[in-house]
Amino acid sequence: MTSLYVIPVSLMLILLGSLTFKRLTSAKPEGAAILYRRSGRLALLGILLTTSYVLLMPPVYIWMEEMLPLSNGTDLISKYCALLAVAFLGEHLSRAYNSTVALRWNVGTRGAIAIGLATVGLFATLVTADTPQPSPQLANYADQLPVDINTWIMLAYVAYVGAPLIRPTFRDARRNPLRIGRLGSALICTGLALSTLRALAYFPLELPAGPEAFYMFMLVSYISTACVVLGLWAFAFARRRQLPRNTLDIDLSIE
Amino acid sequence: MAVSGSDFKQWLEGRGITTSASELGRLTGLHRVTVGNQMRRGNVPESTVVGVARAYEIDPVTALAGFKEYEDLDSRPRSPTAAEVLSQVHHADLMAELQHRTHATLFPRDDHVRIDFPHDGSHRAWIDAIDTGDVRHDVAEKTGTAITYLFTQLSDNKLTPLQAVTAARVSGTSLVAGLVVVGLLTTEEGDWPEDVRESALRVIKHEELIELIQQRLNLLQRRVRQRKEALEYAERLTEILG
Repeated sequence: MTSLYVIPVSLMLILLGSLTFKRLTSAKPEGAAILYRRSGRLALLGILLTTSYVLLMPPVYIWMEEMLPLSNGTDLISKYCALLAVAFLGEHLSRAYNSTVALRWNVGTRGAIAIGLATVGLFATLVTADTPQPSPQLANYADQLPVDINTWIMLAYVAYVGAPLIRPTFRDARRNPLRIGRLGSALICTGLALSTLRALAYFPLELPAGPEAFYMFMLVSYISTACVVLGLWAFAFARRRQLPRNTLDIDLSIE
Repeated sequence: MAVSGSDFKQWLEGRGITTSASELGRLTGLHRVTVGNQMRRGNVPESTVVGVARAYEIDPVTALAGFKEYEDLDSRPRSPTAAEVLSQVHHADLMAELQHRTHATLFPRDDHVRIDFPHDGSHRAWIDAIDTGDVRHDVAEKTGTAITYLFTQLSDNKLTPLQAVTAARVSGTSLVAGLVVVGLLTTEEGDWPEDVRESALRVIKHEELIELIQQRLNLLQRRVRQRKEALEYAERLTEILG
């Protein structure tokens, strides 16, 4: 197992795990009750993403593989967790930024069809592929077409959810009255743009580069995830410190 | 917006003033690295020129007129118009005057205008006072500033000296008054008579005072609404994403 795989996944796990833990424990109400808050879905997103990365850790992956009837079914479960997290994120960001286009794409029938197709596609390509040995992210089978399509479906879904959100996040990165809000939106925008770019570059750049380049391109996805998560953390920080109320003055006094 | 570094060096040499960054830093109260960087990058802010002029007891207006951007600075009378002076009176002081005129016993008049300038919205109020038609667009065009950015600068009280002088050039008013308004020059350096704001406030006609207050209150209302909207927007987003 290459260190290029283990190190980034471990780092992502630490980042996601710590931020999710912080979100669940430092906010009021604490614990499960946080899920009923307006931003509660983000805590669920954190749990799903963390689970997705936990499953990709080699010892966990191999342990899961022993229990599952489908070879590399752990990769499928990990991808389903990520898929669900992205769907939650898409819906949540679309509502937060109040983007008509993003709402139309990510919420309601269109959003459901997209996630349905991605779910079926991921399952179908995994079943079609010949993957007898456990291999997180199916990295050892990157020379098979169904595996390439499997990876691309995941990337395409993330791009489908993220692309319509690039414009509203970019706009907010310029006009949010809070500096940390602008930073948060800029990070989210960068993350979404990187994900979209990777999906677009998958066939023209990533596949011709060969299986060796897989881990390098995966770094793009890790960075984009980290950007989005840190962007959301920036808003959580602003909320905890009550920065809007403390920074934006609507008082008439000039003393 | 600033004067060029080479022009500044020439100007210093022409007056026998040292070009050493550390010495200039000591004279102006700026850090020597800051002055050095300004000269090296070729962008010396007007405040540095004025600082050096003050240190050598040179009239800051004459000093600035030594640069091509400001060569016509002293070509018009320096004193501001009554409208310009009143633009630098805060709406709270305007309303205090109205209260006094309404009931002199209950609201006795103070000897001095209480709130100093620049104050919130004073740059915009000055532009409104000298505006003869389309001064904002003219300033934006002549200084190469995007009009939306100029609006933001006016809202934030961040008009630059060059923009202020350009606005005065376009409007045909005192070229120095704008530099006093943006805080580059003191009222004494700009030849503003002592207690000029108090005098202007006392002689303004009732209907003009009321109209001025009305304009300022409209601006205040818009500003408060914008700030409230900004707060609500930021709160909503941090609440949902935080």
